[in-house]
This record gives sequence, structure tokens and C-alpha cells, in this order.
Amino acid sequence: MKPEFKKDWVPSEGAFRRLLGWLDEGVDSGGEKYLEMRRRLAAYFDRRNCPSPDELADETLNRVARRLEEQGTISETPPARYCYIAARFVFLESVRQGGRAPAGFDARRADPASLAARPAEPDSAARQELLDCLEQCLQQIPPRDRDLIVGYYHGEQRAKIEHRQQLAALLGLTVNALSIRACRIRDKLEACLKTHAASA
Amino acid sequence: MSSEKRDEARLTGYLLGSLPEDEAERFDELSVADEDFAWRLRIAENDLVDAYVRGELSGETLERFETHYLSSAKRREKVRFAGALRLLEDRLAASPEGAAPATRLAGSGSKERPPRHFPAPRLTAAMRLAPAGLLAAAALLLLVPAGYLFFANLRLRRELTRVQTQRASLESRARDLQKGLERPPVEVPALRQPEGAVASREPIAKLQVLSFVLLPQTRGPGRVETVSVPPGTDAVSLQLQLESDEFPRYRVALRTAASDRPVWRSGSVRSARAGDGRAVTITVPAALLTPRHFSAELTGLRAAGGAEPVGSYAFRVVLR
Repeated sequence: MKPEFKKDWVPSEGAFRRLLGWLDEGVDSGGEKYLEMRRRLAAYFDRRNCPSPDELADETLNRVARRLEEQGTISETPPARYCYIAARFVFLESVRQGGRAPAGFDARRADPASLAARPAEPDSAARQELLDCLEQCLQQIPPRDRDLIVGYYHGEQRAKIEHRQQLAALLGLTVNALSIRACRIRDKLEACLKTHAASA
Repeated sequence: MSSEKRDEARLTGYLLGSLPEDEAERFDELSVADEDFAWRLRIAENDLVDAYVRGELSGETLERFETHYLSSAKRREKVRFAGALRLLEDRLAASPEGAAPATRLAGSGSKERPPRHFPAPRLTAAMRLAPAGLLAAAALLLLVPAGYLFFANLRLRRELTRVQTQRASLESRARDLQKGLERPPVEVPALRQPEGAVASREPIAKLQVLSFVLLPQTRGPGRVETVSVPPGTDAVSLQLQLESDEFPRYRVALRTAASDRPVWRSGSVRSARAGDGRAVTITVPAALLTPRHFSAELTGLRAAGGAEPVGSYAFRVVLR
């Protein structure tokens, strides 16, 4: 069942800008902080088996924006933590409304038919299509990013770890910084592949 | 098991829904509220999904992955993407230019396993994405032990050469600066400015070096200095003010909250006069200072040998 929240308040442009500014904490990120927080919230709701994680993430941010609009600012709690607190309330409400399987419930164990949702092994035509989409997406990112992502994901297990250490050293980065950079590029590619799939 | 491995196992457990509820809730909070944790989790998730499509998971982990992780459409999308990435790698590996991956050539011991759901096709189609200068890979293999960087191409090589040259030049300048700082006693100008502000921008030759003054955490509990690094900065000079100067030399390790291992270490340095007190100054390549929280851990080195922790200096890096 999909949870339904009262939609009696939608953020105005001003309220949305205030939210962006508050999340930025004084350093203009051009909306990046907002997108990052929305992504984290959606992932949180998804890990909690909520059926509409993106909607719940939006609902959370709307509530925060409303609070900001009403109070002018929220200074007692850092933005990211405050967003989590708001998300927790949204989550609990969604559970009360039946929008989430109870703790410990495992849909796939309970319903063998749901195993149909397991990613099907693509046939050769589907593989080709998938690969074509990814190649098109790769062509849309800067060559430097393309090289990095291909290099970063090369190799297996221990060899991959060592390879990343070498790559990071050569780029003058820590392995952690390299991983974050690769992660950002991967996110872009994932979004692109999803768009391709939706339009196919 | 090392603490790093243990952390990794906890993250995997969290992603697979196998942690106790109270711990899972703690991780829930961190996943939203803590930037470093959020990144670590994201990286761990990508690696887990990649391991799945490569057929590297087994036993309970595999079972949990299939019964728990794959129960979400959003997460199945991630698996689909990982499968595509895997196909791309196979295509590159199967191309005439690519031959076998360097890791396998080097006999690293990693065994080829059948990937799950996305069998490794040995595609013979031309590599539309093949980097133009794969010949450059040969040169890179000479630079890197064990012949990693199989996929490197000319662009990457040029970039790396540029970065290495810059780095060498920076390190050389940093050494010069360090030597300069070790000449006793040097009057260090008062750099202290309002919290979070850039103290000064000193063009040294063509290097862009910023200077900041940091106080030990014990003096200002809870306060974290902000180090604001604009684009084009080559190095950041950090002046660590001393409560008392009891050691002939010092060493500094720079750590992040995300890792136990230092991201940078200084050589042994002497303190110098700074205003009314004494300070240890280090110069750190700006490339290391990504936006996050850092702690500079100061250790005193005794003349007779041995070392003792002196204090830590917390700061937050923001990019302007």
C-alpha cells in the first residue's frame, strides 16, 4: 500500500530557495547539496523497504522547507541531521499507514513469485542494447571522467584494490577521494542508463 | 580481521539487512546525517553490487543479496547498471587492442569466475569506445609495477604526466618551504583572522599557497576551523599553535574521519616563533584537501628517541 500524506502545502519558489540555501550552509553548491540529500533520503527509505522512496524523500524535504518558511531558520540542529529526524517521522507515519513491510519481513522469501523480479539474464540482443546504451552514456561525459570510471572498475578483488591504489597515487588523490569521484561519475551514468531504458 | 575489514563487513551487513535493529537505526542516521559515512556506504554498495554481477558472492551473503537486496526495484536498477559495466569491461578485454587484462597477465592469482546473470561475452565487435592511444598503455605499464592501468590511454597518460610534474614541483617547493621553516628563529607574521576566513594568499614563485592558523582542540572545544580553498591553490600552509613547546622536533599526520590511516604525514619539523608563542608549520598539497573534516595530529619527537602525542587540530575544508 502506498502511503498518502496531506498535500496541503507545497513549497513556493522562495521557500525552495531558502531550503537550498540552508542545506548549503553558506557555501553555494548550485543545488548539489539538495540533490545529494534527496538521494540519501531516498536510499534510506528504500533500505527501509518503503514502496515509494522518492516520494517519501520529497515529502521529507517539503516538511523541512515548510518549517524553514515558518521559522525563518533552523539553527539548533545541523541540516543533515535535521533532515534525518524529519525523515524518521515520515517513515514512521508511512509505516502506520501500511506503507512498509514490518521489520523482519522479507518479501522475496514470503512470496516466491516475487523472484520474477530478479534481474533476468539478458539474451544477446538485450546485452547488446544495454551495452549500446552505456556506450552512448559514456560518450556524454568528459573524456577524463570516462577514462577514470573505466580504469577504476577494472580488475577483480585484490587486484582491483591494488589497481585503485596505483591509480589514486598517479592522480595525486587518496583512494577515498578517487572512490568518491568514481562514485559521482557512476551516478551520472546510472541516471543516463535509466533514462535510456525508460525511453526505449 | 582488521578494523577496516570489520567496518566493511558491517556496511555489507547493513546493506543486506542483517544487522540488529538498533545498529541498523544508527547506520540509518549516519547514512543521512554523516557525509563521510554516506560516501563510504555508497562506495561499499557499488562494490557489493559489482561483486554480485561478477559472481564473487557466495554463501549467506549471496543468499541475503538475492532475498533482501534484490527485493527493491531501485536496487535492481543498480544491479542492471553493474551488469552493463561488466559487459563493457568484457568487451574491452576481448578487443584485439585489449588482449587480456594486465592483472591476469601479471598472474595475480585472481581466478576468472562466471558472472552471475551477466555471462561474460567475448564480444568481437569493434571497440567503439576503445581509447585512441592504447599504445600508451605500454608506456604506463613501465611506470606502474605489476602492469596495472591496462585501460590507460593517451589522454590519461598526458594528464598523469602533468599531475606528476606538478606534484614533483610542489613537493620540491614544499621541501624548500619546510627547510625555510626549520631555520630558527623565524618571525612568522600574525596570520590569525576571524574564524573561517582566509588568512593570506602568498604567491611564492608561481605557487599559490594559503596560510591558516589552527588552535589545539583543547583550547576551543567543539570549535572547528574552516579552511577555505579556492581553485588554483597549490598548497596550504597550516600553522599549528603550541600550548607549550617541549620537544626538539615534531611530526604531523593528517587524518579524516573516514579513515584510520593518515592521508598525509610530514617529515620531522621544528617549531618556530609565531607571535607571542611557538608553532609548528606544515605545508600540505591542496589536492589532498577535499571538502570534509580533517584532524592534524601533532606528535612530539624526543631527542633521546620515542614520540608522544601532543594534540590534535580539527578543521573543515570547503572549496570556494
